[in-house]
Amino acid sequence: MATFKLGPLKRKQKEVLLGYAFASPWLIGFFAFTIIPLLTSIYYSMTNYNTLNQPDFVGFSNYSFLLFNDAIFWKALGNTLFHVVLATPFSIVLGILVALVLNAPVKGLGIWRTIFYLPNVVSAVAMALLWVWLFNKDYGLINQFLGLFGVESINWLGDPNIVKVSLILMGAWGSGITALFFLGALKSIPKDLYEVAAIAGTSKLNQFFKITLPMITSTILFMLITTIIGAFQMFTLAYIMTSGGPDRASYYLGYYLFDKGIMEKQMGYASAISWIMFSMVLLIIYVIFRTSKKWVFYLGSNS
Amino acid sequence: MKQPTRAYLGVSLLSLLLTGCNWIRLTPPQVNWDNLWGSEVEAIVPCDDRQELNFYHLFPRGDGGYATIVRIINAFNASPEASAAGVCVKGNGVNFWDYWSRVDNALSTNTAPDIFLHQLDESAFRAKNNQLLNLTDMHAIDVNQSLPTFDFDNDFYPAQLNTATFEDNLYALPWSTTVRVVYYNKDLWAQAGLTEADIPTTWDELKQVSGTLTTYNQAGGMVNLGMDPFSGEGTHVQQWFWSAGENPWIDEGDGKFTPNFNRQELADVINEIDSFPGRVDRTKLQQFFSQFQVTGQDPFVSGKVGMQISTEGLYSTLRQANVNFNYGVFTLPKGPNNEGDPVNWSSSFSIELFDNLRRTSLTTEVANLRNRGSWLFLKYLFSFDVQAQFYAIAPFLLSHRQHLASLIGDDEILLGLAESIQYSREKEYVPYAPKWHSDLFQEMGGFFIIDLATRRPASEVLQRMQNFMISKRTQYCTTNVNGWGC
Repeated sequence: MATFKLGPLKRKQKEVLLGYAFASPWLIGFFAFTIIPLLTSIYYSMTNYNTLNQPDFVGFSNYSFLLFNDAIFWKALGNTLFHVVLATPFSIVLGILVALVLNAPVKGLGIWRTIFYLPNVVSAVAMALLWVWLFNKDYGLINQFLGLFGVESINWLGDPNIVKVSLILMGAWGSGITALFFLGALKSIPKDLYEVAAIAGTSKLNQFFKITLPMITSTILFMLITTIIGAFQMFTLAYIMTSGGPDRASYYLGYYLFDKGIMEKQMGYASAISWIMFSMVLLIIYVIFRTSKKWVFYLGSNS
Repeated sequence: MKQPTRAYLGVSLLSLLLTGCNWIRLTPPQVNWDNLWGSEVEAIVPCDDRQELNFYHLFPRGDGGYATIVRIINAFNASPEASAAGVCVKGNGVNFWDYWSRVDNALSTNTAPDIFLHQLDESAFRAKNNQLLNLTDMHAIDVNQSLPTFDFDNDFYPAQLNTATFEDNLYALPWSTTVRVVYYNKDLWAQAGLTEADIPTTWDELKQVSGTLTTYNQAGGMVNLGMDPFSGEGTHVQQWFWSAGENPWIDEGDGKFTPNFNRQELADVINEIDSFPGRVDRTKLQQFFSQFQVTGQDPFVSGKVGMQISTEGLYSTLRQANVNFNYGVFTLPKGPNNEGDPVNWSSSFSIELFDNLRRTSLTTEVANLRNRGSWLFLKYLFSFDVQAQFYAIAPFLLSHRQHLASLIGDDEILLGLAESIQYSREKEYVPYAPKWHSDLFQEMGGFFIIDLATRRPASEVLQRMQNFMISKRTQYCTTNVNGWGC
C-alpha cells in the first residue's frame, strides 16, 4: 500500500499543517457560509438587488436614505437600543443571582439546576405562545398573581408603553443558560479566598463585592458581549407575540431587516440595515474590550 | 505521523460522502409507506432520455398527499403525450413552511423549477423580472394547432385572471382560492328570533343583526357577541374599504400606484366599522376575547359569537371540533348607503411556469421543448381527474370554477364558500410596497389600542400610513430611478 508523505518538513510544521487540515471542514464552511456572504453583503448594500435580477450599483444611496430619511428605521433602532440597554443588564444580573442560589449548599441541587436550565430546551415558538397566555390581561397568571396584592390588570402586550418591558421580562425565562456560565465561574473561585475573608471578619455582602464579583468579571465580559449581540438580533418573539405592535412599539431592527429583505425583496436595502447594525455592535464591543482592562480580572494575571 | 494522516483522509472522505456529493447516490432507508398511511405509493417512473421537468409542490415524502402526487406524476410520465413531447416530470415536495423560501431561492439562483406554486398576487413581480413563461403565447399555439386547451374565461373567475395578467399577457393560473366570508351561528340566530331571511346584504343590516345578537349578563359582562368586525380576518381593513367602494390606491398604470389613504372617506369607513354594537365598550370586548386567547380556541367555535369573518380554514376547524351548533356562511355585504360591492378578499395560490429560455445552459430548441412540456403538464394538472385527486388531499378551494362546482356536491357550507369566489378581489401589487396590507395592519395597531388616552384616531392612522407609503416609494425609487412603479 502506498504511503502518503508530507515531504521534508519539520515536525512542528507538519503538526501545524495537520492541524489546519483537521480544521479544514469548519474553515471551508466558515469561509463559504460566513465570510463570503458577509463580504458580498457589503457589495449588495450598495445595490438595488431584488433577488431575481442582476443588482445595479447605487453607491451609498441605501445608507443615506436609511440614516437621513427613514423614520421607521429610527423607530426600530430606538426600540432595539431600548431592548439592548435594559435586557442586557437584566439578563446578567438575573443570571448571577440564579447562579448564586444554585451555588449554595442546598439539597437536590442537581434537580434545581435542571429546572432552571429546562426552559432553554423549549422552542422559541412554544415559549412565545406560553408567555402570550401568561401575559393575558384578563386571565393571565401574572395579572392574577398581581391582583392578589391589589394591582390593577396590566395590558402587558397591548400597551405600547409596556410591551417592550414585557418582552425584556421574558428574558427571565432563559436565564438558566446565563446562570450556568456564572455557576461555572463561581465554582472556579478558590475557597481559601473566602476562608481568609471570613477569618478577617468580612461580611457575606462584602465577600460578594470584594471576592465573588471581581473573580467572575471575565465571565461577565463574555456574557455581556454575547447578550448584546443577542439583544440586537431580537426578532422571533416580537414576530410571534406582537407582530411588532402595538403601534410599532415592539418593531425591532431585526424585524425591519426581515420585512425589507424577505417580504419586500429589497436585499440591497436590507443589507445596508444589517451593516449599520453590524457596525454598531462592533463599535459597542470595541468600547467594551477597550475598557475591559480596567474592570476585568483574570486569576493569575498581574493586574 | 502516518496514523493521523490516514485518520484525516478517512474523516475527510467520510465527510464528503455524508455531505452529499451529487455523484454519490445514497439510498434512503426503505420504509413501507403503505403501512404508514394506508395508501399505495408507486415507484417513480424513470425519465430515460427525456427532458426532466422539475415540479415544486407542497406534498413532501411523509405527507398524507405524497402517494397521490406520485401517482399523478407517474400517470403523466407514462402517458403517450408526455413521451411525444419528449418530457417527463420529477416532483419535489417541500413542507409548506419551507416551501416559499425554497422556491424564491431557486428562482434567484437560476435553479428554478419548471413548474411551481406561488402567491397569485405577486406573479406580476416575477413576470416583470422575466422569470415566467408567457401563457397567452402557449395558449395561442394550442389554438393555432387545434390542440385541446383552456377556455380561460369559462374556467376561472375574471378577478383572479386579472391578477395573473401582466401587460395584457397571462403569466400564471390561479390554482386555489382563499375566501373570506361571514360565518354565522344559526342556533344563536334562532334564539334571537332571526332567520335566514335576515342575512344582511348591507352594512346597516349587518350592524343591526349584530346588535340583536349581542347580550350581556347582569354584571354587565358580555355573554354573546353579535359580531366584532375587526376581529379575526376582519382585522384587515382594506376589505372594508373595498366593500364600501373605496380604494386607498390610485392606479396610474405600469405598476405606478399613488397612495390615497389620507382621506376622510376612509376614516369614515373605519369609524363606521368601529361603531358596531359589540365594539362600543372595548374593555368588555377585550375581556370577552381574552377567554379564547387563554384556551387557544377560535371564538366562533365556542358558540358564543353570532357572526365572524373567517376563511375556509374555519370550516375545517369546525368540523374537527365537531361543534354542537348549526352554522352557515354568507358573503361580506356591500358598504353603507348601498354603495360598493360584496367583497371577498382572496389571497390565492397560483401555478406558474419558469421560462426556460432564461437558462443559459440550454439551447433554444431544448428550452422551447421544455416550455411546451411544462405547458402540457399544466394542462394535465387542470384536467378533471387530477383536480379531483388534488381536491381530496388538499384543504384548498380549487380555482377552476367548473371542476370545483362538480366536486363540492351539495355541502351547504362549501356551496356558500364557492358562491363568494365570484366576489374575489386580490390586493394590488405595489412594487415599492408589496406587503402594504401588512403595513396597514401595523398602522391600525395604533387605532386598536384599548386605552383611549394613547389610542390614535382613524384619520391620524391613515395619515401615518400615507406618509409611510410615500416614504417607501421615495426610498424604492431613489435606487430604482427608472424602475417599475416609479
